[in-house]
Amino acid sequence: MVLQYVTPVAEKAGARQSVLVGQSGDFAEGSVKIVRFNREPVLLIHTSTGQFRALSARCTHLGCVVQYQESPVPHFGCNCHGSQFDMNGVNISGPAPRPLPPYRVTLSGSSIYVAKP
Amino acid sequence: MSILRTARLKKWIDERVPLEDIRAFLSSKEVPRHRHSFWYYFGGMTLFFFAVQLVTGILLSLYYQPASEHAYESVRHIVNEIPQGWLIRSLHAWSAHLMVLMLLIHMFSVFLMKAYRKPREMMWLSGVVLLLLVLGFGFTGYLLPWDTKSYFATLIGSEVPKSLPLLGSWGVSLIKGADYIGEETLIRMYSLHVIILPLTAVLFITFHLLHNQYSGVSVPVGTAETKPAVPFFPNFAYRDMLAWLAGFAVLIALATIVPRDLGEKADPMASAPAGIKPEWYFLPLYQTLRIVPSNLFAVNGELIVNGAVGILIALWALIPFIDRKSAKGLKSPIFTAIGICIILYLAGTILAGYFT
Repeated sequence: MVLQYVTPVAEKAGARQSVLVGQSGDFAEGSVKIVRFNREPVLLIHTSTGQFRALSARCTHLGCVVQYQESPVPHFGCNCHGSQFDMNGVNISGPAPRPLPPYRVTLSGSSIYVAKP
Repeated sequence: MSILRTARLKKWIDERVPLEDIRAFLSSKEVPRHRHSFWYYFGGMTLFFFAVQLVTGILLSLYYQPASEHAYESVRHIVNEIPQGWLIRSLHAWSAHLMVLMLLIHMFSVFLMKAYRKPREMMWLSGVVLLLLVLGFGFTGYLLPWDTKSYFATLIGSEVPKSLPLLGSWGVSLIKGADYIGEETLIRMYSLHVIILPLTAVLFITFHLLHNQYSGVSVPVGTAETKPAVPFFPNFAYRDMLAWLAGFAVLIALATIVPRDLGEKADPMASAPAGIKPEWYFLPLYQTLRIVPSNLFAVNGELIVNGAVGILIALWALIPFIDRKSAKGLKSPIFTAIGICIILYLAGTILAGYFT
C-alpha cells in the first residue's frame, strides 16, 4: 500500500501528441533552437537546404540537455560528461550509448509542428 | 543562599533524573593514548558539523519554499534580504562539505586502524549506513536552491541508477516523483532532506554512539599505549570541544570569505552549462562515468559502473567479516594496502574531475 502511494502516477492529462513550436520565419536557415515538446526539450534544426528536422535534446547518457556547438564542425555536445553527436544525432564520442531520438516535423502553412515518430 | 538553592535544585533533579548514573555511564569509557590518538577526534568533528547542519537547516526552513516556482526566489530572498541570511546559508553549505570531509577522514582512519574488528562490527555497519545517509543529504539538498547547477546535477544523479536491472527505472521514478525533474522531484527531495534522512541519521548516530560507549575506544593492533588512558567524560569531551571550536573557526572563515553563491534560476529547456560538475564528494563517481566507455565487452558502461559501486559498497560494509586476521588481533597489511589504494583512487578521481 505504501509502495503504491509513493510510486508516481503516470502523467495522463496535458501531454499532447503534436505540438506547435513556432512559425517557420522564427527559425533562420542553418540555425538550431531548443523548443518545448510537452515537458521535453527538442532540437529544431533548420538546415541550410531549407528543411526542418527535430531531435531530442536529451543526451542519451544521463539526460542532460545537449548544446549546439559550431566548431570545429557543427555538432551537439553534452556539457555533463562530454558526449558528442553529429548533426543527425548519431553519437560519435563520449559515454552516450545511443543516438538522439528523432522527432517528426510537419509544416502546416508556416506553422511548425513537432510530434513523436 | 545561591549555593543552597543550587544544591536544592540539584537534589530536586537528582530525585527525578539519574544524572549521576548518566555521568558514571559517560565516565566509564576511557580513551586510550598512543601515537595514533589524534584520529579519535574526527568522529566528534563529524557529529559537530552534523549539529551545525541541523541548526542552520532549521533556520533556513523558516523562509525556504519547496515549490519550483518559488524555491529559487525564496533562497534569493534569504541571501539578499533576510538579515544574516547569506551567512546562515553559507554556514549550511560549508558545514555540509566539512561534515563529509570529517566523515571520510573518520571512516578511513577507522579502517586503517582496523577499529572495525570484533566487537565493533555493528558499529562499522552503522557507520557505513551513516556515510550513505550523509551522501544522501548532499544529493537531496543540492536541488533545493533550484538553480541551473543544482538542476542538472540532480538530473544526472537521479539518472545514474536507471541502468540497474529490475529496480533501476522504478527507483529513479520514485526519487523524481515523475518522469522529469519538476515540482514533484523538489517536494520529494525536500521531504527526504528535512524529515526522512535527519530522523534516520539521528537513529543511527544514537546507535553508533551508544555502541561506542559500551564497546569502548579501539586501540590499533600492535600499537603500544604511551600514556595512561583518560576518561571520556569530562577529560576527552573537553578536548573534543576544543577541536569543535577549531572546526567552527574554519567554518566561519570559509562561510564569510567564500560565501555560497546562487547561480541562475534553473531552466529545464536550456542546455547544461559548460563546465558543470557535481560536488567534490561525487567527483569519483562522475569521473568514473566519464572514463568508462558506453559499451565495454558488450555491456552498458553505466551498468558496469553502477554494479561495481554497489558491489564495492557491500564489500566495504562487510569488511569486518572479511578481514579475519584483524578479528583475531593480528595485523592485516593486505587490508591496509586496499584502504590506501581506495584513498588514492578517490583522491585521484577528485583531482582529475576537478581539473579536467
